[in-house]
Amino acid sequence: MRIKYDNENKLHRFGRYILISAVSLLVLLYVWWMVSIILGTPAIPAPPRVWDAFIHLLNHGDVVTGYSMWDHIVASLKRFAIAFVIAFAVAVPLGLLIGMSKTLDDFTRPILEVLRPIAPIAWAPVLVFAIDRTWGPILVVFIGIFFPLLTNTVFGVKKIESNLMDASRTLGANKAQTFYKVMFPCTVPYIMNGIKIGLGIGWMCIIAAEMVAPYGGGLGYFISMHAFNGSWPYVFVGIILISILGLLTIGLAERAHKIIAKRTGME
Amino acid sequence: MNNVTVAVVVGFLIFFSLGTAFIVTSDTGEQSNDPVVSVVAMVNSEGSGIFCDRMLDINDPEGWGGLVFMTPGPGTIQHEMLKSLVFSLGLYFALDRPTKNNWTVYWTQVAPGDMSEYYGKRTMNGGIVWEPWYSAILTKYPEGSIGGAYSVARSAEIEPGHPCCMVVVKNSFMEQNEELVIRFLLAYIEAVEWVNKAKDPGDPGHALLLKIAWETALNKGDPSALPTPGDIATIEQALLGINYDYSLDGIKEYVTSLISRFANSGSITKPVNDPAAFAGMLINDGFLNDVTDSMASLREEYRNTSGAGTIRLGVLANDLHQIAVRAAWGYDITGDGKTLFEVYGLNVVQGGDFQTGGGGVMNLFAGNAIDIGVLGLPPTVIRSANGL
Amino acid sequence: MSGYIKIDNVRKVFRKDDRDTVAIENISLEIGKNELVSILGPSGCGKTTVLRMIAGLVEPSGGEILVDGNKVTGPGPDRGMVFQDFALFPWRSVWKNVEFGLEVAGMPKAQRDEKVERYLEIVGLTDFADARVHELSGGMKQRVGIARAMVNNPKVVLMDEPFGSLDAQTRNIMQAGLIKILDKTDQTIVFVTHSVDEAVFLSDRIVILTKRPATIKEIINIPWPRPRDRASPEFTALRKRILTELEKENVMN
Repeated sequence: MRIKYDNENKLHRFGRYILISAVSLLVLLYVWWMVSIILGTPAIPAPPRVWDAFIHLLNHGDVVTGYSMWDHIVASLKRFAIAFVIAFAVAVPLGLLIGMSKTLDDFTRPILEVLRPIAPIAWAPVLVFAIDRTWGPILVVFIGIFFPLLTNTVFGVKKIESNLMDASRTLGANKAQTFYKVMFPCTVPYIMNGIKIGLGIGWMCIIAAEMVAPYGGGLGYFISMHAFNGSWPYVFVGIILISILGLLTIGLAERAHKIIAKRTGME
Repeated sequence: MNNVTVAVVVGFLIFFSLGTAFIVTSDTGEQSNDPVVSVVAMVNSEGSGIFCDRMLDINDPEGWGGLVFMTPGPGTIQHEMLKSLVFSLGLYFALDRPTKNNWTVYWTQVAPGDMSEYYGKRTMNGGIVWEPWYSAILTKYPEGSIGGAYSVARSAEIEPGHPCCMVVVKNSFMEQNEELVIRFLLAYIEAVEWVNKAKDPGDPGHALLLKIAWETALNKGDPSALPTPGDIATIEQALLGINYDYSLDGIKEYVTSLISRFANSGSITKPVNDPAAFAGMLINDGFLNDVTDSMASLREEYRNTSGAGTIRLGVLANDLHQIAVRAAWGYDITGDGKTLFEVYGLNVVQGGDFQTGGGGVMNLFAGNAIDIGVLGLPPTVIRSANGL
Repeated sequence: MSGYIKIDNVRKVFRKDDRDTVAIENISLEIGKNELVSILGPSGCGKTTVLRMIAGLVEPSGGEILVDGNKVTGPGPDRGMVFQDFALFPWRSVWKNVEFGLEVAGMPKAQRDEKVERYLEIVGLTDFADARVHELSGGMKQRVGIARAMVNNPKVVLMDEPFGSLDAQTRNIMQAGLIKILDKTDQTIVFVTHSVDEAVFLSDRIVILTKRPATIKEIINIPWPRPRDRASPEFTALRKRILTELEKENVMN
């Protein structure tokens, strides 16, 4: 029997997506495996070694820290979630204000341009020491999410069609009404874009965030500690777990973006 | 199907079949963990200590539960020593966390040089650290004052004679440059002898030793800075707690015991089938024995030669344990206008940044940045067992 | 409700990079209640600027504009505006777009619903109340725009080339539709266009501006009843006359 691919069939589309993704991941696995054999360095263990480490971690937990795999995951996720909420609560309103006010834009620009290039890994020791071991790491992730979210929000405000603002004003809306009934909805697609970029960078910061004076575990510390001891298969397990968390959170944002875009009619 | 599809499918088939063949024919089983480095001499034994914001008894669990200690990190001798001590008190040992109980002692990883600052914030109760930081913290936060630090125990009291730092050589370098290794050991041994002599405050070399110690361990990179009286007191006190010795006696047995200890604590994640054999391969006392057996004639032969070759060296930052190596490397301790390494014809260069832990020095080995490294025995054992 | 507009000696100078450009030079004009006045002129002459000054979106550099005796100092719901590119809110449905002005005015829900329903009926979009803006054709979009401006019951409706981006056929339909809407309402309309045909078809008066700096070149009264017959000799004659006038402005460029 021959099945003809039908692009308008939801099941066909889904099947095609799954098939191509699976092949893509298989290729990655193959390349990884071959690189591991060719280089022969223990720092790039072959997939079966990593699988063994994963099973061991699942069954026995992380012996060094006394944490289970789930403890580490929850610890990192919690940090990440709090950092995200704060970044959102700060970056979006600030971005809207900066986008609206040229004076504020000119004033904050030098500050932001000075701070933006500083890598979160440089912030980690400073923030952990200066603030504390609970909020320091959260702030490191916060910084990672904050900047892309802010820049995208500002960009979104600047991209608002002036006609929409004029329309709102001629219809009798005051400044506040124009702000939350027109400006905010206009920037939503840009904010969503900022969120997606920010989530990716946020996960990149988790290792730096959890490296200094570890408190309460986390995948980032798990990775750096095992790298220090040369337990490379465990390092890879940690890396893969973080990438899965990254995929899940970004996938969630993607989903939210689609729903919002559909409901607001702004694709 | 059009031509492009066919080409893509065929391409993938070739790619996958070749890849599969490659993977199947390769030995992807557990690689042997034969060490790629060798320990050729000891640097020091003892020389660490536990401090805390209250007086504790290392034989009585009273008061230990719920406290937070800083360590240089899992896989260091200090961390393992504290862990063994806590277990011997009948308590648990776990990574610091928000919810604590009083039957567990908590640890967190802090770079030794930062422990003093962190201790000053008083969010952690104490720590275990190598010299000079142990003495520095006790000097900076005097016992009995508010937030003052008490000396709970020196490492010598917990594990008398425990080995600490080692001179480690990359095997590939050692096999091709035996003579350079011998020259290095000759210079190093002479430096150890000098350090031990200069430790005596009456010795003419004492002032130079203090200078070397301060520049090695306490000066944070400011060439114009001068030691304070407190610094000198710290160094004098610290030097007393460190035992400088190059001998490898009993180290093989110690490594054998370390292997099972680290396997249990999760730092060694690759099983070592025969710990004694592994220890035998890792600890190479042949060079040291050759050198000590015919020290006089070898000194005769190699002293005041030049141009023997270059060695790339990796060391730890701010570690008073490694002072003999620093003395032989950067100072004229013989009085003839040359460093000891130069006296033995060696050009020793820095093979990478100074590291905050032995894992970092092992990374320098792995990255082929150094030929000889000076680092703790545990990181050497753990990284070698795990495959580097 | 309808408004009486008095434009008194209004001047507009744009300043860019320290250089002044006079866009409008001393225009005075009165627009009576319930009148439909078109503004015609060569492109770039400042027709839209006049409209935006009445709307309060642009401030005159000199002179003043009064609507029913009140000086214009900023935009307000008494002067509705219809935009060439519709300027609809894409995240709102057709219904919610029309409702916007009532919503920001704080009108109770029941009253709002009744008004929106009535105006959607007037523009013939009752069946599309829940549609998204991007699902509509250009003509339908502008009908939403007109309903949205009208629902506030403004004294004046300012139309800035409202049919300029529509194809010729839709334009004619929209023009006829606008006449029908005007029968049911009594707003004063100021209509900016570059189509002479459209101006003659719709207006009570046509104001022709000169090229920049714009002044009033001529005001033409058209007392004919609506709807007008585009094929009639007087329609064609007037259209030709105005075209000639405008061409002179262009030739002189």
